[in-house]
Amino acid sequence: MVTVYVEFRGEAKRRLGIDKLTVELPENASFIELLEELERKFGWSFKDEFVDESTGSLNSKVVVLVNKTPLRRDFRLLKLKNGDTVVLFPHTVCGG
Amino acid sequence: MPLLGYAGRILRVDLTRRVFKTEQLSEQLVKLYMGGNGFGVKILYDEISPGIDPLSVENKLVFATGPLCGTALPIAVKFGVFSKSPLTGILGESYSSGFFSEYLKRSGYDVLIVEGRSEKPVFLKIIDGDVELCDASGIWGLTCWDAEDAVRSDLGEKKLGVLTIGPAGENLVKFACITSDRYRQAGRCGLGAVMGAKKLKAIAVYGSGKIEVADPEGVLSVAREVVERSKSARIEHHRVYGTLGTLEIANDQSALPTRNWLYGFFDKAENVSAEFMLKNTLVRDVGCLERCPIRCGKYNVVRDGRFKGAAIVGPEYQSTYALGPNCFIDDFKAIIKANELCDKLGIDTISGGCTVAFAMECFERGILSEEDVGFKLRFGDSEALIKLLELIAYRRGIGNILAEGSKKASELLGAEALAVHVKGLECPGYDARMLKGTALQYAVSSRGACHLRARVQVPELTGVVDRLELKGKGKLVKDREDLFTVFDSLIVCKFALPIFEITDIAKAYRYATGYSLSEEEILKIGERIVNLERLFNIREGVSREWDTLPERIRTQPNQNTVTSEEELNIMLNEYYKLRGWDLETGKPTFEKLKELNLI
Repeated sequence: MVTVYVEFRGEAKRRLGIDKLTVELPENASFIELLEELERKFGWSFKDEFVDESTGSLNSKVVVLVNKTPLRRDFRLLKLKNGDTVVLFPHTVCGG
Repeated sequence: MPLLGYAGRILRVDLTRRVFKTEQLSEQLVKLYMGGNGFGVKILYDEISPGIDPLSVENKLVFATGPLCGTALPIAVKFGVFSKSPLTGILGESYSSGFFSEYLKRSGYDVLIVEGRSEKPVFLKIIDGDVELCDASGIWGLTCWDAEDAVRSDLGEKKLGVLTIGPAGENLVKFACITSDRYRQAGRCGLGAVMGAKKLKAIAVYGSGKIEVADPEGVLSVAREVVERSKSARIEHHRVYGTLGTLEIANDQSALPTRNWLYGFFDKAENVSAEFMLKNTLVRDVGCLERCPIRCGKYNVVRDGRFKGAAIVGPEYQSTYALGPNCFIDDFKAIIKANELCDKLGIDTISGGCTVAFAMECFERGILSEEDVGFKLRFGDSEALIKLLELIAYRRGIGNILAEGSKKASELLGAEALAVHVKGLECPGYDARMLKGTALQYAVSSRGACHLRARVQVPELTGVVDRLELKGKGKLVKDREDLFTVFDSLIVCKFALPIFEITDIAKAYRYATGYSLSEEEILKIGERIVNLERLFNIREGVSREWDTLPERIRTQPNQNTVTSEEELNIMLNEYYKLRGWDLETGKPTFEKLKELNLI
């Protein structure tokens, strides 16, 4: 098992009422598996929110940071490691 | 044959001789330069001599609209202002929204050129094509807001687009802005000081004429599509969070410049975030002209505490960065107050906040003393921020030096290493150590450190590209500069990009003007304008050596990362090659200029 630290921002933080969570996942778990685990815990459609089902890539309206680095739109090769921090923004850069 | 999509005329106002002249817009100018940005740069390039003092009678101010302004397209509510910048000594340009754009066109003019200098304060009135210079002695000295109220009251006409300068513009503060309809500003490059030097306090415009387009139904169909798409999730976050929604995304990547760029992470970012705004100060969303469906403007009011009553549309992300984290201030209500003060006094919030941050570091390091300043100027002190902004606007005490901008002030104080600017323009709030393409765009942008010409921070902060990779950043910046120069020439808000892409631009431009251009031909116009801007700056002495980064970005690590001179050179070489610019001098090559019809 690996331990992953998840932080919620924006709408996710407001809806879930928490800003941080520790999640246990199987070794070599993918980002999708993390989203599935969060769906099970909260009943919120994390996968629909963060992944574009038609392309299988990250939705263009969100930002995900893994260890302070933006997750690339094509993230399928990523395997989460023990101690990783994942920050979930259900919105993207708004300009300025 | 009338030029469809355009009013077809230029208004030239000579303040010295108090003479107005109307000129026809030439079809050649329209076809080669489109509007807005293109018109502004071409006119300045042709009409002002290199080496002039930006605050002298020789400088000109160009206010330009574009072919989509005043049409049914609700995202085309902007205008551009162009002049030689008193802050940087090179090309100055800045954009704002407001009724000015539509009413100038409905009054029969695409472009207003202001030249000369009035002996006494005046305001310019343009009502349905009738032009008048009015005495402004009674409003000289007033804030932007009070001056606008006085002009509206004097003219007794509710429907006006009104541009004003405040005390900062009158006092020739080098980063004074021009305010549009109270809450919006053409902020950057100190163009308010050029108005001040000309003794032009305000411009009021109203027009009721019709703007003829080639295919009204076609324009309407694009407008409907834009409104429909604005309801999608791709744009929804702009409406919910405004530009401030970017703050935590930048901070979480250590890309939020803090404490005069010593750090890229602000541990109290939560206190100045969009979430804080939504919970504590937001009153309502605001769309430009109450027409733009994106509605990214946020009307905030401080309801309690020391700054009770402060109210603005904002603060935007950039203003929050400059007046907040960069001054190490985490009091969001104080930031609203400081932003309100900037808006009333007519100060650009980015340059103003960054110049205060620079002064705070000078104080902390003992370069400025309490005796020099008149009070303690510590990082994190919001009262000191507010006091210093006032001193700057009125050029009192230390404010007189800081009113020159952080580059000049740093030279006067012997603190060049602490000033964070490119070509004299203070850096916007995206950390160029963590975002390599953003570093390149700051280095090459024609007005100095600019985040809007290419908006490269967006793909870098969102993972569309690798933010630390150097390869490919030259192409990314070049392509996006060409595209956004087209946005600034039409003129369309850049925040509309997710719902108004190049294919939509081609359609809208055709429906408005009747000119059928391919996407490639449209981008070629953008490229031509970027190159003409470069020629303008080269004439003023700019060369490759000028395309650089502040010492702090090159040498002071943020998360063990700098953007070194070597890294910048790798990106510059790629960029210059793609631009067709000489690698040693940075000048566009003969072949490139020929290709772009610039010789």
